[in-house]
Amino acid sequence: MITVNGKKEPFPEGMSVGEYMSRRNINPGEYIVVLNDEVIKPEDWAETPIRDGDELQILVMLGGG
Amino acid sequence: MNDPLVIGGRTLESRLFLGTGKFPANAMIPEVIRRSGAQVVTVALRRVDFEAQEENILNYIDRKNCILMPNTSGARNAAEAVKIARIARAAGCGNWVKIEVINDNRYLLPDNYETIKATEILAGEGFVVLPYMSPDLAAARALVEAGAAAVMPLGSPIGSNRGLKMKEMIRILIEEIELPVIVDAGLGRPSHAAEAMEMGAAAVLVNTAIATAEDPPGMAEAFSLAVRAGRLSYLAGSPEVSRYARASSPLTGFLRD
Repeated sequence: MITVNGKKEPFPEGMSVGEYMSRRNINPGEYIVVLNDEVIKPEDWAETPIRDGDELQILVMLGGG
Repeated sequence: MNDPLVIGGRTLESRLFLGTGKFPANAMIPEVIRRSGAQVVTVALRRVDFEAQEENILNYIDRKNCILMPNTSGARNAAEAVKIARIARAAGCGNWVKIEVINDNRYLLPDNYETIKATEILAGEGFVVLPYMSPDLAAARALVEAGAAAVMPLGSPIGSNRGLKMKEMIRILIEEIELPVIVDAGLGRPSHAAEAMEMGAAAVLVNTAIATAEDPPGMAEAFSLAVRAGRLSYLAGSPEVSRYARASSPLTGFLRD
């Protein structure tokens, strides 16, 4: 299992961050991706594997005061 | 007027900082920024809600003309604030951060103790740290020691539009603290902003009062003018207040001896 934005999901075995995002129709640079507390830059998505037990956060900058 | 404000090595002409929450449409934000004249703009980091079709606010902010200041809203302690700040910087949002640590859901009052701890850690990592705080002199001194670039006391609770309820405490900070004092939160009218600037605040941060006005760009301009007026008044030196009248015209008339 992995955790994505706080929710458990089946482990997408053999997938990179890039492949996972592509499956969810997320384009590089659209959102901020944090894997186990580390920001993964868009240019590194394709080369970063997802491992069983990983915690993935998909974040966005919104309006705030 | 050559009266720049220098924070974190950056020279600012505008003393109005703008928050970007609660606007009826993101498309309005470029016009609001333009008419406010703001050069420092706050944003927030959140998990994507895939059902809400959320837009990246950065698409509406021209970073050539504005310094981004991500806030740490949602943090309930120093460790969470530090985590948010590090993510924002690693994601390319620059090194300015507004520390906001809040445990109180009713009044959204900041936790000064956790704020000081987060400030110390992040200033040590090279961030330009602007902490949102309750106006308390001991806490403000601790923030100076911790390496803050400015202190940002609340005028009244966030989004309340109640104005400068903490005025006397903020006045003490302005007198005693060497760093810029930026009044953040609760300023609901341009006149509130002018009042803060007249007493020597270095700047103000406004969000709700502009974002929820009927005409946000118009209100942005009104705040911009009020901030300038208040600053000019401060620089010009307000005369003292007197209990009794002091004639403005000569009382020695010619009608009587």
